[in-house]
Amino acid sequence: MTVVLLLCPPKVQAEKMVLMTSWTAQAQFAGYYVAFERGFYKAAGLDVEITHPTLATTPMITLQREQPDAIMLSLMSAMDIISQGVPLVNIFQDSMNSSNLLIARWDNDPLRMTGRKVAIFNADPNYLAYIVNKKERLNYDIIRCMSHINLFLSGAIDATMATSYNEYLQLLQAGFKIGNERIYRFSEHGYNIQEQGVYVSRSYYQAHTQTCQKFAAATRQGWEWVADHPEEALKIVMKYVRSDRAVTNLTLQRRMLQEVLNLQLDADSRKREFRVRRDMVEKASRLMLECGLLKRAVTFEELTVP
Amino acid sequence: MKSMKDYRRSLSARLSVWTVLVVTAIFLAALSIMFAESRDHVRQDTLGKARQTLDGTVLHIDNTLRAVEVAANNMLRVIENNLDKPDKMFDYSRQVLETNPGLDGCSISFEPFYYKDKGEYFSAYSYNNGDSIATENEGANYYQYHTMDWYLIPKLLDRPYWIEPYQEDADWGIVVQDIFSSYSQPIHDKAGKVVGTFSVDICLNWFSDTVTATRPFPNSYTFLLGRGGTYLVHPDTTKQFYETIFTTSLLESDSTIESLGQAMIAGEDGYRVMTYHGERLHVFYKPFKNTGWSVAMVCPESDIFAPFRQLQRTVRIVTAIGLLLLLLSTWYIVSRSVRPLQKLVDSTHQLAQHKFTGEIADSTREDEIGRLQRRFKAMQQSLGKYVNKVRQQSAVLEARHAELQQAYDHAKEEERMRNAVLHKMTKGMSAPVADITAVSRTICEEYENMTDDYMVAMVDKIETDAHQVGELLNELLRAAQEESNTRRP
Repeated sequence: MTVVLLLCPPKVQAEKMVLMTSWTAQAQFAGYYVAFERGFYKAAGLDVEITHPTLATTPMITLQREQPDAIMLSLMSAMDIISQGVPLVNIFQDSMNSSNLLIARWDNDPLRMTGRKVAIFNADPNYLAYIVNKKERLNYDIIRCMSHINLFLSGAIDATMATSYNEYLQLLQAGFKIGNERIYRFSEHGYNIQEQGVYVSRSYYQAHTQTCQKFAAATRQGWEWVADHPEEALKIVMKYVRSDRAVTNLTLQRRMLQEVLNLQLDADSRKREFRVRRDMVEKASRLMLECGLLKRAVTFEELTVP
Repeated sequence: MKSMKDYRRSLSARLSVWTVLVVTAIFLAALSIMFAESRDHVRQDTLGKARQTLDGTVLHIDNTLRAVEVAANNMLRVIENNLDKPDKMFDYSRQVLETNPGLDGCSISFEPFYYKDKGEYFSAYSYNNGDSIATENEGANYYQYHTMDWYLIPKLLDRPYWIEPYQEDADWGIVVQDIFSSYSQPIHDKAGKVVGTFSVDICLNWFSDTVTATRPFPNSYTFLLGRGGTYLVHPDTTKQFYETIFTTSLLESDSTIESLGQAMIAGEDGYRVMTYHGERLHVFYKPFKNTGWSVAMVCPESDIFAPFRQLQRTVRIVTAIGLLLLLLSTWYIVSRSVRPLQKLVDSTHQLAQHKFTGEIADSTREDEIGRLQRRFKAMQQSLGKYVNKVRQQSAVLEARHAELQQAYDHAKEEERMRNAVLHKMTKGMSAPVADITAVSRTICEEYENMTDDYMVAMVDKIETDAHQVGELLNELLRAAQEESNTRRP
């Protein structure tokens, strides 16, 4: 009897973890979907539940209302929330570069459109738009919107913030032919700051340190599988897209995944490092402070080390 | 079975085939002209029908949308005149749906803190679920309507605007899963400042049903594009609302579709013929006046020309049957007409085999063939008699020839025998004559040296040979005498 008990270890209850993504279902989260669907989380002893937010509100309100164990935020959003007194810890970083673009509606250079209406996303505020607005003294009329495409189509705005993996592709998909002269790429003008990462509250991290580490390892495994099997990963993505009733399609998701995988390559090493870069945190903190977007400086240590 | 060669040797077959070939050529020329003319007429008629159907659909939708606009505009005046009564906004919102059953939702929404005591969010929203109308204040931290298209666009443009179809992203209060388009317009206060927006919603299903019903041909279909090329209505429902006409071009440029999409979202009213996935398509497109959307009707060429193809099929079948009947009837008539010729051909064949007694029927026909038949019969009979006469004379000549041949052979035999006898006798005389000659020469040359005995022997020899020659000559004379007697009549 003793031998049998030793050979059959007691069934360990998988640790529950609710992850809320930063947007509706799309290829941006392929690594997480794959880690779940391919059983990487389960193999790590995790019972991860992936949920998607409503875009009708801000990340701060989502965080307060939904209280997920982990939430995906851009680096700047996380720093903003931390500076407002909500201690967060980055447990996994999938973006290594800025995907942010500023795209003019009309045939202009976006940085020559002083005083014009520029749309940013309410569900994921584009801090870089505020920063460039202040630094270049553009005096933009910044419009917080839920979705940019119809504002852009209607001509109600003069420019929009966009990510290279989503909104930019949506504009192309809407028949816009956008020349380079109409696009301001932040990463090419000294504003290459990492974006999406997974954050938990400091208290959660302290109580579930191993869970967070296992989550990070399994997620990394998921992304590496995605990089090796993009087409199979897309099938998994589309399953989530349909389940979430996200307004998108396979073609756009294919382009999105290509771009997301590209953005994961570190600018210096050209490898997928899945880490927060100290230099980018320091730069983001400095720029946000200079533009009044942070109440206080946020350090690399408090963001990454409990 | 008759071989092709037989047919080629048959006058009736050749005449029939040539007749049909000539008629076919004339038919082909005539039908080609007719088909070319008909094709153009059918094309014009069918395209006209398609265009009319599309125009009718667009007009119907435009009129319906115009009615929505009028209803909304009327209520807007009421709202703007009662801005000081915020609670009345719920009544107005509900009243819009009660008086316009075609509408599904209505929002009267205001700028943050416009009504201080109502807080940051104040939006009177009513929804008609088909059975009843529910009303609520839909604004909240979780539903920040100020950031939404239907609120932002008319506010920023400061004019009414048809919002592109959208799906609500709310998970509390009245949760609606339908896809809507909204006619939204700014609400102004007495100073002319925008203080909110007023929107009425119409479900996309209404457009879907109306547009899908626009189907003038069995395989034609209609799709509706939003301003950004989104398929608002499409027969492939997996594309509907999720893809745009430019989606496929994200991976690989498709100039045909892109060009059509650009023309449509630019609000052009047009028609073009294009090849897509190997199929020729006729595409009509027309914009809506109110919404900036564009509807396209796609008609496969097979549908456009279906009446023409039907006409072609019928004419081809009738022509083929006609030509077949023409071939058979021509064949029958010609065969019947030239049948006597066939008999004459047989008779000629018999004549060639020296048979002059074949039966040739009398003909009562008065045409060339009848005359030919009668003349041929007369010729056959005349030729038969002549040939009989020649045969009789030939037989006499042959008998005489046989007799002459026999006599000739006999004479020839006699001649041969005579020559043989002569040869034999000549040959029998030659040795004794030679001996006589030799002995005589010897005696003449050697008589001085010869002994008498020898001389006597020589003379005896000469005498013996001379006797022998004499005998032969006698025999020859006797034979000549006998022959002379034989020949004497």
